[in-house]
Amino acid sequence: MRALCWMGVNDLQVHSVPDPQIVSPHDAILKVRLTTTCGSDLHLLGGYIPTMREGDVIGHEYMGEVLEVGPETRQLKPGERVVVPSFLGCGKCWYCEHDEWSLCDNTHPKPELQEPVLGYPTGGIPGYSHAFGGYAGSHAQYIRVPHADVNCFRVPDGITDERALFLSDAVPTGYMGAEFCDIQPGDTVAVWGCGGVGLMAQRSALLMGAERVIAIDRFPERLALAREKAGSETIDYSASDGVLEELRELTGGRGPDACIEAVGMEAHGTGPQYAYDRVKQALHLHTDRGSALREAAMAVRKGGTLAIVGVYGVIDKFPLGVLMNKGITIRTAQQPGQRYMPRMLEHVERGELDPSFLITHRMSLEESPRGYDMFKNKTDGCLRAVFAP
Amino acid sequence: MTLQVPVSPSAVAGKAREVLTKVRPGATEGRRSLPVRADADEIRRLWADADARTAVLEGIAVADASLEFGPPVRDWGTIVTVTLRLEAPVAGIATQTLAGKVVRRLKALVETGEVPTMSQNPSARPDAGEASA
Repeated sequence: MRALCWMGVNDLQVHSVPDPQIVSPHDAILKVRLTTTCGSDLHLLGGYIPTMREGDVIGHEYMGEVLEVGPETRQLKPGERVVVPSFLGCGKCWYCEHDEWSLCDNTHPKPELQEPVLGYPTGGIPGYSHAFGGYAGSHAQYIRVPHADVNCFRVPDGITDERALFLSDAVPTGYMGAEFCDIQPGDTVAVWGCGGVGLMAQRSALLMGAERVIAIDRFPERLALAREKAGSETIDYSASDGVLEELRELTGGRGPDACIEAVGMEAHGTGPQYAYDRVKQALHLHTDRGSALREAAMAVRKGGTLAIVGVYGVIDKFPLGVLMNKGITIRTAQQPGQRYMPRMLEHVERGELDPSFLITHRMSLEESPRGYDMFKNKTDGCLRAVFAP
Repeated sequence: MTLQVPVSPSAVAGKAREVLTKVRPGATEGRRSLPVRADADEIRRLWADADARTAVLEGIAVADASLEFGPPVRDWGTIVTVTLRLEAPVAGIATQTLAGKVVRRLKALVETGEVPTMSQNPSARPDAGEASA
């Protein structure tokens, strides 16, 4: 089959690779129908997440059609359209049973690579480095899904591929961020980032009852989407004298009740702190540029909640004193999409949530390196490039 | 003293791994515990099965491997401790980390009926699609 492979830092190429096989009894093989770029892929591409190997097939946000199932896969039939949360669960361990699917104890083939960094391994994820399991990713014609009965969710007939695709990652990540905020009627939620995850967090916060959502970004086309598709007010930080001041005034001097950080380790910003982060990262002295995270920590009101859904490595200058002295609750996780999938499908079926507007560019797998180039450099208004293998 | 600064994230990770493995340099014995959601008899039965043991110990040159059982902990399961004795130390990885890998594989096999595997994993490498890929 053809697949998009990581061949080195900032080097993606489409190659012919062996087809995946049923290797365990609970597997399924899917024909990938749609698979998308994700902001977290850029951290792999840029070499900020170690343990990639030359030749790895990347991609972790996708939907497809069941082609073949293992002998113990009972719930799926060939031909069914399914969407798959990025993190793989087993459905049997303590974490899966407690709906913490991304923390699954039984789906990581290489825990020894992750334990030195995290203490305990997470669940596995396809196409996202060997530290996260090393499974071949979804930017390919076919993909193997372990424990398919609990990881593949049938897409109802009334939901198109385009509407189902982002239920794999962008929607549950944003949805989780909003849920973390424990939104009460009248609350104001500020969201850093108007990429796919940030926009879904904004829309989810409104669905959960936020009175106001304020989105922060610098790209005019993304800020326009935040206003038009997610129902947010917006702040262009590149044109602002101070995001903190603006948020303070927009909330009558209190600050937002909750802040969602949906930017991650490669944040852009302004001012000397950003320049310092940029230099330090360029010299590989740290992996993370955390300006959005620090700004969100400063902005949230006393006693408020900071939800972190952007991807981070090992950050320094983490403002613990700000959080401690203001009594901030931090909540963060990799998304357990299996927990949210039934609710998300209902939202989409009822027309309350249509993530398909995230697709700005659709192309073949052969064109995917160009898609990543556009996505990385945000050219031609690229929000998400989607590939149809 | 000369301060050597690693030049890339992978170098940083490699250095960290090297430091961690030096916690017990040259150790050939290590142990790790995890709760497994089954009773001790069921786990013992599986451990006695040759195919199951092969799957759990795959790729690790083990001189001896043994199990001990602790009491059940709430709904987490029975505490299982794997003690590994290797034929020789493995460069770049502590024996207790390997014991951790073995107890995790055993847990997965008991709880789900399979061990997470990279077997026949597609990639653009020459060994792609092979059992150990």
